[in-house]
Amino acid sequence: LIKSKVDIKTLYDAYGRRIYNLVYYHIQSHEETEEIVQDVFLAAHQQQEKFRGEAQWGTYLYRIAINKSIDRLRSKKRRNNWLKWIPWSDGISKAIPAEEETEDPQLQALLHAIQQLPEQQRTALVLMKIDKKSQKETGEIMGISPKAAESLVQRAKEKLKNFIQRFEGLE
Amino acid sequence: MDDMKRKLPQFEPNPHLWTRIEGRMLRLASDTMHPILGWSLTAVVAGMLLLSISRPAINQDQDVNPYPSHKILYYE
Repeated sequence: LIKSKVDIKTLYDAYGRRIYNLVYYHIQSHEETEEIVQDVFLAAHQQQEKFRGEAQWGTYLYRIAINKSIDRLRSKKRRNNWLKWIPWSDGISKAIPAEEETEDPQLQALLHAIQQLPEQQRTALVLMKIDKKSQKETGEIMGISPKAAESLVQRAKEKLKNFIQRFEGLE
Repeated sequence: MDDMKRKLPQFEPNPHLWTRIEGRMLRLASDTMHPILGWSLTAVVAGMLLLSISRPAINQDQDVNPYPSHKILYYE
């Protein structure tokens, strides 16, 4: 059995931009997104022997990217919770990269609203509405049924709609 | 909601991102190569030491001429 190694550059050319956007919509910091994307492709480099077809790679890269993004968000949340108890934490929290501000206030508000969504709803929304994945593909990546993926997106859209209405009401 | 779709842009990664990934892959390869080379070298040196200890330089059980004929030097 001959196992041909997949060229990581080919994978990067095919998935790099998609993975970048998937991570960015979770983390919302270009600096941290770059770090995570590097980790994702480095993990792929170390797992080269495991996979043969490029189709398998797609799902693998998406899963690694989602897991790493969620891990990063959880550790940031934990760190911020701890920092609340430290009186001199202002200087420390300034050193931690926060979500970046964009020039467009509506986009900024939308990104903030996406950040507030529950983890699974956010992932399903980004996969289906930004990466344009089908229900089946989204379900496969997230390890859930296509129907469950669709219902997550519906709930996420409802929450965002309420948020946008509130935002427009404030303007 | 349609407005929202229009508002969600696709971001372009930094053009140098691939170079950074490549650099980290190379560093990883060299980090894993060094221990392998180090251990191989240690194994070779240890093997040579063991061989030199287990094999005496002169077999003392046999009556061996310490000055083989072809090595005898004649002086006038």
